[in-house]
Amino acid sequence: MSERDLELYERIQKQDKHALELLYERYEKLLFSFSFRVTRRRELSEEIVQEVFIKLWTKPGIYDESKGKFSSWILTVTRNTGIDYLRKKNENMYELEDRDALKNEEPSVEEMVEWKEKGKEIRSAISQLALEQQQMVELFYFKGLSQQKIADTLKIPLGTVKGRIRLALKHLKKDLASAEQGRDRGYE
Amino acid sequence: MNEHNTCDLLLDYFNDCLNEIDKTKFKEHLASCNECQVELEELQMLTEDLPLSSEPIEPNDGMKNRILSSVFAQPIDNEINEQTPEYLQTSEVSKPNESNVRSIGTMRRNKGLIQSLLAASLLLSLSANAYFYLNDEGPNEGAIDTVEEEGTDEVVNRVELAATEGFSGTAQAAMIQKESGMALVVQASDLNQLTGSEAYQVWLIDKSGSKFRAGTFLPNENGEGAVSFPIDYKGEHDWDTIAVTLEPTPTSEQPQGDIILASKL
Repeated sequence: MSERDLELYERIQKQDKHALELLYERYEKLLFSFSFRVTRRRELSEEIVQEVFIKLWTKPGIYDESKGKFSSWILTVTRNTGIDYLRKKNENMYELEDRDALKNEEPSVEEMVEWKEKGKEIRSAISQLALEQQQMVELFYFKGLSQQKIADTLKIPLGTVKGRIRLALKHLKKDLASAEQGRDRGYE
Repeated sequence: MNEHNTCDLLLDYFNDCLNEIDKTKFKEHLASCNECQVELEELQMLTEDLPLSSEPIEPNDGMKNRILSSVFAQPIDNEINEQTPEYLQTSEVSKPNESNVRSIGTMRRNKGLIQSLLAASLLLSLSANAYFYLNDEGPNEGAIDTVEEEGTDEVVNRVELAATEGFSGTAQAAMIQKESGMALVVQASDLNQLTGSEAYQVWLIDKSGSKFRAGTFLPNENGEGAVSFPIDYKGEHDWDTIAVTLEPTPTSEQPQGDIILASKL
């Protein structure tokens, strides 16, 4: 999967439009779904995906292998763009949830099988965390709040926020690791 | 601020919540603090899989066309690559995109007008002499040069936008009602070039004075730009005015810049 990404990225560097289109097709649904997970707004999610691809197209050299796996990198860029948009639009979050959009459909690209399998596991692991730890993951990772805002939102002392976030994330990772051990390793 | 406190900025740095001063300070600190380096790496590792927890959501209708057309309309940030004439020569560019639009048209024939509009907007943004393509027969048979052949869908409103004092430019806008919803297409020309992160944004203003984003575009080298936008705001709106503003960034949720072009609806 990542070799194909790299090959496409190389071609995009040479302004190969077809390569960008192929890469877009590979990531459209994942990036859109992730943006939607963060913003809960379809229109905004589209803007975020658009901005990610504009960066990819207009900034030669924005990615290189020292930045890790391409898929992780593009997801990080998507998250950063998403929480940045959230912050800018915070005042008028009139449309908190687009419930119609919460249809659970299967990813269309077969290579996204990792998403499907892992997604289920992670959602299940998150739901097994204590409520407070779930909130930590949500506010810190998916909403990108500062430690101060998290402390204010949950009415907990600022000094304890960092420890709680790390604890929640570690707890989650541990649960995931044991879930992974419990199944066949069918993908890389 | 002492060393200990600087380490406490790590999570806010990760979430990009720091102001420029603190960010610079933290970056300097990170370069020399082994503990923070390890912790940052750990944080990246711990959160790496979280995006995959997102429930799969079907992307918006026509999103691919909209996004690719605006991506390809962007100037490339630097000129290191000398083999860029393809991007600069519109006549060259229109070939691959023409076939692109055809294949999309074939695939999504049934979805109708909005797709056609979006396909047309893909061309509008790249080609200097394209016109609105408003019929609903799929973008075949020389569709690109078809001038305003209206199909069964109702063109609710079509206006010319005039430049406000001190600005140049003209634009046409059309609102089209289709069973599946309303779409707004705007094509502008003779626009001034932009600098930095500036962008042109289209707004719909209703009778109560509320302003709604209706697309963003950047002009090409000839000062031409176009955008197609689905109108699906919550509630009923009695539209009064359409305006194009020059915004400091493409992300303004409410207009901040000057009105360049406007018309009553």
